[in-house]
Amino acid sequence: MLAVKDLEITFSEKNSIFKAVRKVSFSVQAGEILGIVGESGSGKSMTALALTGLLPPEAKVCGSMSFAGKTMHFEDNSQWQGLRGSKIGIVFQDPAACLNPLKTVGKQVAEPLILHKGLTPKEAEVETIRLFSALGIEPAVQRIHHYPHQLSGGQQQRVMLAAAIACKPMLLIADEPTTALDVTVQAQILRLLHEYVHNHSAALLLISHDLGVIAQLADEVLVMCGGTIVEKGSVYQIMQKPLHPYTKLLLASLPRLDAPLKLPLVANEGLTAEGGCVFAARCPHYRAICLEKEPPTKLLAEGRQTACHIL
Amino acid sequence: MIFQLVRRFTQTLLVLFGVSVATFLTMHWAPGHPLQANPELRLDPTAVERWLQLRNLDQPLPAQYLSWLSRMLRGDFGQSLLYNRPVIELIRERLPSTLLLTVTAFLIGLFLALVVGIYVAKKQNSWVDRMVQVYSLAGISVPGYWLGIVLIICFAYRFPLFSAVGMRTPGDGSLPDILQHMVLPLIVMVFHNFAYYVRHVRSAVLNVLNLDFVRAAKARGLTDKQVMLWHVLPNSAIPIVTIAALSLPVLFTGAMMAEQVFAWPGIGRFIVTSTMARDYPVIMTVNLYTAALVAIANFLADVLYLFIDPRLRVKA
Amino acid sequence: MRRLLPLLCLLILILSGCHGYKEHGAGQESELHVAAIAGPVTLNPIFVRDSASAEVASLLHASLLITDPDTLEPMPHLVSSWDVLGDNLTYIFTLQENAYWTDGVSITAEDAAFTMRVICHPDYTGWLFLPLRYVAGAQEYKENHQSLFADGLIEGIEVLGEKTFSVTLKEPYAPFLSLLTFPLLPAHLLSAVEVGQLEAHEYSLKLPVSSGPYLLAEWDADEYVHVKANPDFFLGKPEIDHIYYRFIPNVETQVIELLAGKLDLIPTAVKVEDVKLLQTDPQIKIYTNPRLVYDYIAINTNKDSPLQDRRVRQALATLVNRREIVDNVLLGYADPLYGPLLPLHFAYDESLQAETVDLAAARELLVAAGYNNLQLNLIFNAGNLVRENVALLLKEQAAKIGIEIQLSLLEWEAFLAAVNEGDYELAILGRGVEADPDLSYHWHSESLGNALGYKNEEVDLLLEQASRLTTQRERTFLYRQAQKKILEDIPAIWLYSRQAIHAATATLEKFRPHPESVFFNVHEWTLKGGEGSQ
Ligand SMILES: Nc1ncnc2c1ncn2[C@@H]1O[C@H](COP(=O)(O)OP(=O)(O)OP(=O)(O)O)[C@@H](O)[C@H]1O
Ligand code: SF4
Ligand SMILES: [Mg+2]
Repeated sequence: MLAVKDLEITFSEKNSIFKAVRKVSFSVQAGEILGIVGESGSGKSMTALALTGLLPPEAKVCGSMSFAGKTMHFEDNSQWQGLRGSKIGIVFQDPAACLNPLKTVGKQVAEPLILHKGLTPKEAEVETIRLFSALGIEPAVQRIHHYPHQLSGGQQQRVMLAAAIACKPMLLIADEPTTALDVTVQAQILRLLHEYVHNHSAALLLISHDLGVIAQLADEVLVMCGGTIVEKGSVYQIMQKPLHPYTKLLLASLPRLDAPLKLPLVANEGLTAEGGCVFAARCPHYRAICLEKEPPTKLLAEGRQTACHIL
Repeated sequence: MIFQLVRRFTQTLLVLFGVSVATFLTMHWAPGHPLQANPELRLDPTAVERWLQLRNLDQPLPAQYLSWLSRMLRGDFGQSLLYNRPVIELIRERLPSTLLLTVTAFLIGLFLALVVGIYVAKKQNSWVDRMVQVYSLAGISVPGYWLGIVLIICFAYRFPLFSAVGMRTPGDGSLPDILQHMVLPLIVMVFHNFAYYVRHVRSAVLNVLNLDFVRAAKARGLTDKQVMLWHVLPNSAIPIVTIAALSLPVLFTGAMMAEQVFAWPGIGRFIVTSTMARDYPVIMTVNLYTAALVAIANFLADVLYLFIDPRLRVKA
Repeated sequence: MRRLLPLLCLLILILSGCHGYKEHGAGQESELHVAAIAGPVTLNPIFVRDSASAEVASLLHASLLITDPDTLEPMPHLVSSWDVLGDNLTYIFTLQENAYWTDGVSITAEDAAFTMRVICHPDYTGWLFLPLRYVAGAQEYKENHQSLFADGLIEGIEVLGEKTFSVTLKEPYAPFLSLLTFPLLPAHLLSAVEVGQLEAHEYSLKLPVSSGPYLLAEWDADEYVHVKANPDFFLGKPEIDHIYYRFIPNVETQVIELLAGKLDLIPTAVKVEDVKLLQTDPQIKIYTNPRLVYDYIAINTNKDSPLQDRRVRQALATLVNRREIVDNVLLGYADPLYGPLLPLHFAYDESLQAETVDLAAARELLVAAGYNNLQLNLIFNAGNLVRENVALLLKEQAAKIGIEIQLSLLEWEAFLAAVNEGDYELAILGRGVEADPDLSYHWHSESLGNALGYKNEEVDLLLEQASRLTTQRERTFLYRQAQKKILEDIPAIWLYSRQAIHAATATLEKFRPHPESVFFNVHEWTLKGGEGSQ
């Protein structure tokens, strides 16, 4: 349903070019949950934003994606306008910051309904109430008139989810939807996401640097490092039999769910390993070749793939 | 709420009282008095004394202040010592022409600043943005007097498109006549207003544009325009409202320079002459009015904040 | 934005098209637009204290007498003729037969008597009492009059008929006639007004009735005074139908407006720097005339300071090169001045011309006074470039003989306060003097106008003597003697008497400014071809 091909995102600063995402290709099927994991700065969010045409204006992007039968080029930002909010829904990390503090949550959720479905404000309100109760934002009739600051973090994220799924999008992107929430609420939100995918046979792109979350929900997993996909496989394969040195390190830090990854070095990999493996600077298995050549993506059995010289 | 209002009101009264005392004292301690013996004229010093006597200006200061206060509380702001007419009347004659200029300049300046400020905030760091930034810094420091003279030379002399003097042609005073008299002073005032406001609008909008909910709104499928109107602008409104509210008192006094250069018959010139002539009742009234306006402006701004921001409403 | 632009252009086009100026065809009324720095504060002629009010008053009111613009001799005006009785104490005045108030009421001797009673009334706060204090009974009226109104009688003022009245003085006073240059108030309108209320009376604002060449059409608070020709003016209806006296506080704007043809006259105060520019325009004519004003350096001898030593004062006086100031700073638009009598005065002493600049002599005087070097402070007011230049020149010169002059530039009111309180050592001041050379107001030790506190009994005696004499020859002799004595005492350093500089459209004809009034003969002015401005 969604196939991304050669997505590349570059930031040019004064005299240096920084590739946040390099030649990333992947695809998701309807009803499938694709997890993307990776440490902070590995390009997960940039990938998600690229899929919705919401990259910051200073980002240079190329590549293409085909979605719902259409092929779109990332260079041309205009094609996403009709998709956002209707066919692609997005949930971001920090719900408190993602809600406009000056408008009632009901109004904000109703916006896509009015815009894409052509509902009148009254109809949209009814639909919003329905969405709110479906997502457990109770008492819905009153909640729609509340302002964001009157809601708890979990409720705010449910509101964001409500807005994202209001128009029943085929693709839902959730960029660390639970990172800002406490553990019990996390589970509820994840359940709602899962229910939505299940009930509407939509695709879900679930981004997290928290492998625990991915393990719970995802079918397939992409492991990103330094803007590249270093490993891809089913959730079972990745969790049980990680191949790539980077994935192994990620798994090693699993217990600490919400703490940032403690990797040997948090250097700016994109710059240090130009032309070689993005992980070379920190890789325990590093060889000479790793600095010189980019490891090619190897396709393995059962749709699994990885990019490492030593494998 | 009521309690807050009452407290606010008494605070304002105290401030006004303080302003009136301070004005009264500095005014009387400043050298000179309204009929100060000018050695360039052949005046009669005994007549000057009688003049002061007849106006009770020979009384001790506390007595003078109290009599001013009691009259003021009864709504009598006194007679101008220079013009021998009620101060209120003099102000009322001059205020409309000043307001015509200042309010128009304010509205145009703010409107332009909103349009341009929003535009450049969206195109941050484009060449237009850089130009506007340079202008907003330099524009404020261009002396209005100089700009006024340049405009007069260009558009009232070399290419006589507009009038440079007064508010109307003697004997005319029709609407188009007044409008064409307004053009040059307006340009000077807007030049400054706009430079000042555009900087604030730009930064206010820019601050909001970088917030997460803007991206979230776009993710819901809103167009740039809708995002701007529904989400960015309301959130930029507080700093903009603050700036606008601060301008309110200036609307009443603020056209001094333009009035001077373009001979506009407004209150600014009147304040300057009255101050130089030590016209005590006028100075007192004007200062009190201005202080009251500052208080009112602040109050209005607060009410607007409440109106704009639900978070404040809950606290109140 | 793109949609707004054409709209904006359209707006500019429409607005710029509608200059409200009327086209002047044949037979249309003529207009004269006169620039003024400020507007008047009162239209009541006997409460005038500022120059704008004085100028407007001279358009609207006719004074009893006027002085000749060249000789400054008293001449008939509202008073058509007068007789002086043998004792030089009593004057009999006859008013113009055809002089009427603008409401048609005849201007009578009673109006004159009423006006003079108002001026002598205890509650009168204008500045016209000084000339009338010589009238018999005037001082008594001022001190003893009980009523709040200007009723009763002053001993020396007698109404003899509808148009004749007499004024009797306490003692002969030669300058008296030259001081009767104030206009009258309409008794039929104002005699029932308390004198204390007169200044603030509606008359000062609306001026329903007046006597001058023009009558008030409109006074717009801060824009202009519009006056129109008085058809019943006793010297005939003025040629120019309308005069707009327009308040333009910024002189640069005035000059540009004159060049643009939107103004017709900038009276009196054209800046010397602007004359050259204005002269390049053939449509503009520059007029100049001497005035009864001068600038001087006041020396404060009332404080304990080296300035109490005459030699120090003389040293300072020997430093100043008036010619240089007149030529370089005032570009020739002034007369250098070496004493208190002005070139316009009949008693002026032309022999008093020599520049005495002599640094060596000045230094000697200073040393002789026992000073090697010396510090003095000089105050002057902000906003007068000429005086600022004079201050700098003096400082420079004084430094050469070991006097360090500290300059302090003061805001006008602060400057006046410092002068009035004697809080200075040297001050650059200006002053206006009367048409008559009588030096008493400034130099008689008992005069109210003796701001410097100058006291010389011989001078007092000479001045008293001179004011009782009648022939110009005798008075000239005494005033020159008094002047000589004053100069010997060096209470001040005279600098220059600035000329009035007027710039007018070349179409204005018969413009003949008086040293004291630019509108002196305004009823005779014409605009060539009946054209006004625009
Ligand atoms: N506006 C920008 N200008 C320059 N570099 C940027 C910009 N935005 C993001 N980046 C860089 O792009 C890289 C990828 O960022 P991204 O937000 O995709 O990381 P992430 O994987 O989402 O990390 P996290 O887990 O912290 O959210 C980062 O190294 C970041 O520094
Ligand atoms: S390619 Fe080399 S550096 Fe990169 S992960 Fe494999 S072994 Fe490590
Ligand atoms: Mg991220």
